[in-house]
Amino acid sequence: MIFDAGTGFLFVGALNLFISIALWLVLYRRRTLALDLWCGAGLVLALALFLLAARALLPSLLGYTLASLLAITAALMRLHAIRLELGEPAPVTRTILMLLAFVILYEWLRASENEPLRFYILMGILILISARIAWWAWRLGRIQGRQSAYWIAGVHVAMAAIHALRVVNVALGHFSPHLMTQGYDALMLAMILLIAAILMNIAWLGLALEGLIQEQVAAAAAQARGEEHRMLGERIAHLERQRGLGLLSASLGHELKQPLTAVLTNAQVARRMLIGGDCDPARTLDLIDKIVYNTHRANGIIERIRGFLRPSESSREAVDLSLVAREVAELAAAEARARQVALRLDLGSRPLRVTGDPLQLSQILLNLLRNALDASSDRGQGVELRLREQGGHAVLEVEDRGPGLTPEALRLAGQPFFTTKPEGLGLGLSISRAIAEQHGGTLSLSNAPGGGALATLKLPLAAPLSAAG
Amino acid sequence: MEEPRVRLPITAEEHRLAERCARGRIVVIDDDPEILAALSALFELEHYACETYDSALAYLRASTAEPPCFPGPCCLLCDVRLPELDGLELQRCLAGHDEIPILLMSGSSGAPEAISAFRAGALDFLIKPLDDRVLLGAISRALALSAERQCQAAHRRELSARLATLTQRELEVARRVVQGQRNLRIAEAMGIGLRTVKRYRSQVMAKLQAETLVDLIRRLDESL
Repeated sequence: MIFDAGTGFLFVGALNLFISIALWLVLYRRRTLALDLWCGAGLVLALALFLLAARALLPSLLGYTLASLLAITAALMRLHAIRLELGEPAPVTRTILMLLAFVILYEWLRASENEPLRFYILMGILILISARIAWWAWRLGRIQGRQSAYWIAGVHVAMAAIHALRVVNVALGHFSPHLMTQGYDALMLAMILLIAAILMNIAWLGLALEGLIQEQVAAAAAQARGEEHRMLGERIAHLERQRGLGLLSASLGHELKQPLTAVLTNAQVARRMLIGGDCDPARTLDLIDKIVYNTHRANGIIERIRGFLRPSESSREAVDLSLVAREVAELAAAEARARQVALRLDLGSRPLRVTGDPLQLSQILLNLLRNALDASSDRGQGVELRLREQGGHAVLEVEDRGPGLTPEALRLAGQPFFTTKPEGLGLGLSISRAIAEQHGGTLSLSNAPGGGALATLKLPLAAPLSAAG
Repeated sequence: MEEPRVRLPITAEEHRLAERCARGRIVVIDDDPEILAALSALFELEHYACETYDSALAYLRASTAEPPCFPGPCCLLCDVRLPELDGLELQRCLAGHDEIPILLMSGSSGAPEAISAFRAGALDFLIKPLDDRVLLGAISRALALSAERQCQAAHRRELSARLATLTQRELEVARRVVQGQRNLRIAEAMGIGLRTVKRYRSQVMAKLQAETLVDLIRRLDESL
């Protein structure tokens, strides 16, 4: 005798027990129902193997019926675990009913003492379940691209093959249907159970690791996409800002020429005076003061333009909306003059602080002012910019005396790529609205009672400065 | 054509201004006070008289009142981009009934602006910032043109005053002489004596201060 079947199954049972517990502990942080079922199956199988090992010492109800029932239960739990992992769980009630049917059949066969038939049926069920596990594990591997699942499939194919080999040998009379014969059949079964216990659990660990890696890759990809969206959004907003300013560039260029002209002419006057021998210091000083003043003026215009074009990460700080409105109004004033539209400001005397990015807020304002100027250019009428406080909000209104908006334009305005202007992109208002919403505010369009369009920007006021401030 | 009302200098200040005006009076229109100040400093340094207006409307209001001014050539230097009424529109307004040459200036070198300015008869189109030599060159050309126009206008005024002194008969004779008709033929056509024709003719020559027949023809050509 080379092998004691009882000891062998005891050993395999203990191995199943320890590996299952170890696997469960290793993957404890990423516990799922599938893991619980899988490791539970290991425990159930261990119990079945213990009962099998101690068959000689136990009543046959425990040694035969319960052991077989537990072995099949363990196999079915594994099947459930794999299907859960695949996201296609099997109906539990059907499995329980099948188990009940099996117990009744098994007991009936045991009572009728038809030993070979009982053996064939039990083996048939085991082969069937192993084949099904192999099939589902293979599907898991194929659908989710998880290589470890193929190992589980392979192990179960091997188990089904060993069971089939035993059935053939028993049918040919080489082996006895009894398992505890100490012969090669028992050795073979114990060996395959041993290998299966190790490989299957390693494969399951691999499955979990593969799942983890896939999740991390997906998370990284999602983060990269989010980052890309954010950067693209900022880039589009920046380009839109450039475009907005580009549309004003002719009038801004003219605006810049004014102080330059004054500088040049004053310098030339001073030069002519000095050449002509007229060195009155007071007059020369006056001319130089004018040159300095106009140089600062030109620089101020350039700084305003540059400040508006600067690509910037969005920031959040306390911003005085009336200051922003004044600066933007100065940017748009040149265009208003060129179109002979009067730009009236009613900004109140008190600063109105909101929290946000000054550049983005000025982008909204420039957009609204440009729209208003576009609307009123053919009528030569005024545009009004009003700022007031209302119920904890700063409310900024831009009203023109143009033709107003049609109901359709009111409905569609603010959607990307909707525009009523022949050379418009239809992005200005949608970007403005997005910025307003990012600042916890709203941007709405309506028709003013007096005719033209009325744009209303509402932003929550910043919390008042602390007593110390 | 009415003769412009001429202001007479009384104070020493006015005498100096009158001297400047005799050299040239430049009207500058721009909406930027700094540019107005700089240009007027330049023109005054060059001994011109300079008037500044911050809008075309202000200039139109001032000029329709037709205040008496010191005699001398005059030109207009006007920015294209102005509030309410821009430079090109002002030019169109003045085109019909004003002899003042117009120089336009602009911050942008936009070809369409320049083209419409020249079409409407601008003398020059200057790009800001202005170079002093280019500017003063254009100004002196404009003033020369203005002086010539004023001279012609004065001449025409004088001639029409003389023509007004001719009687109906004298005018008739003069017209026929200019058409090349001989005295005999004129006498026949008008039914008067040859001697009468000769007398009328010599009276016309005297009133129009024409020495020869060619002189007479030229004077009548200018005025008729």
